[in-house]
Amino acid sequence: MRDRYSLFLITMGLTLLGVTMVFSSSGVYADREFSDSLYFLKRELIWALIGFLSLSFAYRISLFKLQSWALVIFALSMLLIGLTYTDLGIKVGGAQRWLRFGPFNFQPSEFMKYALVILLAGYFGGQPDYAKGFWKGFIFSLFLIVISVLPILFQPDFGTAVMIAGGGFLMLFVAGVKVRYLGALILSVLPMLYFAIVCFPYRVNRIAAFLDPWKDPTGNGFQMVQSFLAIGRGGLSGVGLGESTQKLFYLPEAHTDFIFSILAEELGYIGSVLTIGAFIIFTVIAFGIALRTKHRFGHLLAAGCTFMICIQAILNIAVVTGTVPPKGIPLPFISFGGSNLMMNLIAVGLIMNVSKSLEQGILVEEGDKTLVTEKRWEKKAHPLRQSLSKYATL
Amino acid sequence: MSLKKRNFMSFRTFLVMMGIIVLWGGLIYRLLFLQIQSAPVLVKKAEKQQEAVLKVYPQRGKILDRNGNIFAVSMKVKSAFCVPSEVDELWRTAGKLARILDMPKSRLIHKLTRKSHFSWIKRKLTDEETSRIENEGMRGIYLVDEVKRFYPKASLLSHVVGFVNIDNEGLAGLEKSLDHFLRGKTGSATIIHDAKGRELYAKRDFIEKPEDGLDVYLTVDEVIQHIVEEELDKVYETYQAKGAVAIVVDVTNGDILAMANCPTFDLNLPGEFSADKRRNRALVDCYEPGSLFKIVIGAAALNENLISMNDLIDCEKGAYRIGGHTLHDSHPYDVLPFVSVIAKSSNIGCAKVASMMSRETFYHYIRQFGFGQTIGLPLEGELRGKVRNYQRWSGYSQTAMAMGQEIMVTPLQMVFAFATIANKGKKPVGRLIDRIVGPQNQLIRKNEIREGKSIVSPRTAMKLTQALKLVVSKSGTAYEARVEGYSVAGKTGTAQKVENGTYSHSKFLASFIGFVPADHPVLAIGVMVDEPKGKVYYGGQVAAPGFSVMAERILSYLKIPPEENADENLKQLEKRYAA
Repeated sequence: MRDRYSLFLITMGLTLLGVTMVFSSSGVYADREFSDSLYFLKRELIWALIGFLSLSFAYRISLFKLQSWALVIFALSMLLIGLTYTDLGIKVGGAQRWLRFGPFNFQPSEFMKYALVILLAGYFGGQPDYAKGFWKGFIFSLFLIVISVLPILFQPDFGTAVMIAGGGFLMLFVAGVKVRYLGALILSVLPMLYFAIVCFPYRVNRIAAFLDPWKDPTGNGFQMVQSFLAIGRGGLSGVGLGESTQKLFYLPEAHTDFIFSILAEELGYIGSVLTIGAFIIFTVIAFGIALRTKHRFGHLLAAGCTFMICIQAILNIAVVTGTVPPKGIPLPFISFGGSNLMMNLIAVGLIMNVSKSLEQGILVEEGDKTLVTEKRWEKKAHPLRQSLSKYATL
Repeated sequence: MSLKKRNFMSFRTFLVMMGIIVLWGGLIYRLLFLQIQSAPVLVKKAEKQQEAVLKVYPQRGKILDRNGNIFAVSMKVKSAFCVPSEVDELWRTAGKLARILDMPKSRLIHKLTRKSHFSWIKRKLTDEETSRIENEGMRGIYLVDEVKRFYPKASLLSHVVGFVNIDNEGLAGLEKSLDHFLRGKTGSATIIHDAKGRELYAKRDFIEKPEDGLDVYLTVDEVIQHIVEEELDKVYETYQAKGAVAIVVDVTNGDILAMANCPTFDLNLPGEFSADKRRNRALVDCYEPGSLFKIVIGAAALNENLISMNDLIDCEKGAYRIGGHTLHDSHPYDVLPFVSVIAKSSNIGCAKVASMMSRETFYHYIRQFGFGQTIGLPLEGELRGKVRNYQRWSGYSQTAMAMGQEIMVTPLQMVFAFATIANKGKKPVGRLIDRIVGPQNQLIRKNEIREGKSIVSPRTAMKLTQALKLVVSKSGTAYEARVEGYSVAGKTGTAQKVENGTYSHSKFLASFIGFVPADHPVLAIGVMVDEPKGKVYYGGQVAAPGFSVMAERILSYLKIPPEENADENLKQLEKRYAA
C-alpha cells in the first residue's frame, strides 16, 4: 500500500541526487562548451519535470488499456527507431541513436525498452498457456525480442541492445518459458556474441582495454583509468560535493555514462554505498509490488520495468568500476539524458500503477483466466488483444 | 493448478530479485576494493596527473637615473597560446587572430595545427591585443601572464641600459652585467590543473616564493643624458659621421652623468638594429687619441719640473725630422712658449717636450692616467686600450705618442684623464651605479664615492689648466668651445685614422674634451666624432661647438652660476703668455 509511495520517494531522491550530480559534473564542461554552466542542469530539470508529469500519467492510465495498446506502442517505437535512420536522425560519434525533438534530443531506444516490456507482459499476460509452449511461447517471444533489438544493434548501440535483450530474456524466464529452452538460447547466443565482438575491432579494443586498462592508459584504457582515479580519489568520505577534479576534462562523459565515478569521487565510499543502497531499496520495493501481484499482466509489467531499471543501473556501475567491459549505458535517474530519465520515470509510474490497481482490486487472478472486473477492459480492449493473440497463433 | 502457476511465476521473479540483490552486493564489494583498498595508489596516480610544478616569475628590477626616473621597468603582460586539439573553426580563428595580431594567416594556421598540447601564438601582447582576444573568446586560445621588459625612454641611454631577451635574460649593457641583481629569483609552485593544462585554483602552493629583482639607481641624470644625446645627434647628422660619442663626468666624484652614442637604437626593438648601432663606443671602441694625448705629456713634464709654462720651444717652422720621420704642424710656428705649444697643439713642440723625459717616466704617467686599464664601470666589454710597455718602444715611439699615436685609448679613459686634471690632479673613480635598492625600497648596496688617486700635483693641474684655457681662447684651436659666461678648459684632437697601414688623409677622429668652469671644475665633457664627412674635420671645428652647447645647457640645468669675469681673466691670461 504504502510501498508505492516509498518507491516514489526513493525515485524522487535518486532523481534529485542525479540533478545535483549532473550540475556538479557538467558545470565546468558546460561553461566551456556552451558558455553556460547551467546548460545541462536546465535541460535535466526540464526533463525531470516532463518525466514526473509522464510518471503521473503512467500512474493513472488504465492497465487494461495499456495491455490492449501494447502492439500499437511497440509498432510506434519501431517506427521511431526507424526514423533515426532517416534524415531526422542525428549522428553522434558515428552512431545514429537520436531524434531531434524540438530543442531536445530523444533516444527512441529508451522508448523501445518499455515498449518491449509492455508487449511481452501483454502477450504472456493475455495467454498464460503460451508461455510453456515452444513455438507460441519461446520462439514467438524470442522473435519479438529480436526484431526490437536488431534496429538498435545496427544504430549501432550494442549496450542498449544487450540490455534490452537481457531484460526481455528475464521476462521470458519469469513468464514461465521452460528453462531448457532458455539454456539452449544462452548456449546458442554465446558464439554469436563472440563474433559480434570479434568482427568489430573497436569492440576488441574495448575488451582489451577492459582487461588491462593500465596497459594503455592514454589510449583505449583512458576512460577506464580516469574512472578508476576518480573513484579511488573519493576514498571513504569523498573529496566533497563539487570538488571533483576528475570531472575537469580528465574523465570523458563525466555527466552522462560515467557520472557514478564523479559521485564516488565527491561523496566517497559512503556516498556510493548509500546510492547503491537506495537502488537496492528500490529493487526490493519494486519487486515486492510485482511479487504481490498475481495478475499476470500486472506482475510481468511490474517485474519487467524493474528488470530494465536494475539491469541498467547494475551494468552502468559495473562498467564504471571496471567490472564488465565498457558499454554506453546511463545510470537511471542520475545520468544526464532526458529521454532516459523520462522513460525510467514512466516505468516507475507503471510499477506504482500496478500497485495501485492491485490495491483497488482491479487486478485479480482466478484460475487460468484473468478475471476482468472492469467492463471497459472487456469491451474495448478485447479486439486488439484478440488480434495480438491471433497474430501469435499464426 | 492456479496456485502452482502463481507460485511458479512468483518464485522465478523472486529468484531474479535475489540475483539482482547479489549483483548489487558484488558492486558494493567492488567499490570497497577501489575506494578503500586501492585508494592510496589511485590517489597518487591522480595527483601525478593533476599536479604540476609551475615556475613563478619574479618582477625584474627597475633601472633608474639618479633622480628616480625610469629607464627600464617590468610590466605584467599577457601572452597568447593555443591548445591545438581544442581549436575548432580553424580558418575563422586564424582569420580573427590574423586581424588582431597583424600576423600572416598561414603562420597562424601552422601554429594552430601543431601536433602538441601547447603552442605559442604571440608572446607579450599589447593591451589592445589582449582585450580583443579576450572579447573574441575563441576556443582553444588562452592567455597567460608574463613579465615584459619595457623601456619607456626607448633610445635614451640605450647603449648603457642594454636589453633583455624574450625570457627576460639580460643580453647587453647593464641588463646583462647587473643581471644577477635585476633578475630576482624565480620561484616555483605546485598547481592543480585540469586535463587541458589550465590552472584550477587562484591560490598557489608555493614550494619557493619568487623574489623580485632589485632596482638599480644610476649616477646618470636623465636630463643631462637627454641634452647630450640631442646635441650629439645634431653633430652626428651635420657631419654624416660614422659614429659619435659624448661623455659627461662629474669631476669631483667620478659620477657618469651622461654617456651617449651615435648611431643609437630603440631598446624596445633591439632586434631591428644592427650590432654596430648597439655598440657602446665610449668603452668598447679604442682609437688613437691624437692631440688629446698632449695633456699627458704636458702634465708629466710639468709635474717632473722638466719645463715651466714660459719656457720657449723651437717649433722648427712647421717641419722637423726625427727618427726617420718628418713631423708637421698644421700651422707653422717659430718659437712658442710651452703653454702655447699646448694651446696651439704643436706636434713638433710636444715631441720635443716628450724627448725631455725618460721612457720610464713617460710610461709611468701614461699608466698613472689610467691608460692600458679599464675605468671599471660595470659594463660588459670595456676595453683597456693598447699601451705598449716602454721596453718594447722604438726610438720613434715617444715622439709618436706625444702626438697621440702608437697608443689606443677608449673615449672614457680620455675623459677621465681630463677629469684628473680638472680634479686637481686626483683621478676620480668612475661611478655608474649609485645604489641598489630592494623591492620595498630598502637600500641593499650603496656604491660609495671613493677618493681618487693623486696622479699629478695640484700645482701641475692648475698650470695645465691655464694652458687648456688658452685652447679655448681666440688664439687657441678651439675658440668655438667657449661658453658664454664661463671659463672653459679643454683640448682638441684631430687624429688621423690608420687605413691600410698608413695614416689616412681623409678619415679622422675629431674630438674635444674639456671641463667647466675651468677654475672650479664640475663637469668634464668629451665629444668625439668618428670620421666626419666633408672638408671640415678638425676637432676644434667639429666637436668643440657641440661641447659648447652641451656645456651651456647642462650648466644652466645644474644652476651653476656664471663667473663674473670669465672673459676678462681669459684675456689677461692671453696677454700674459703672448708676451
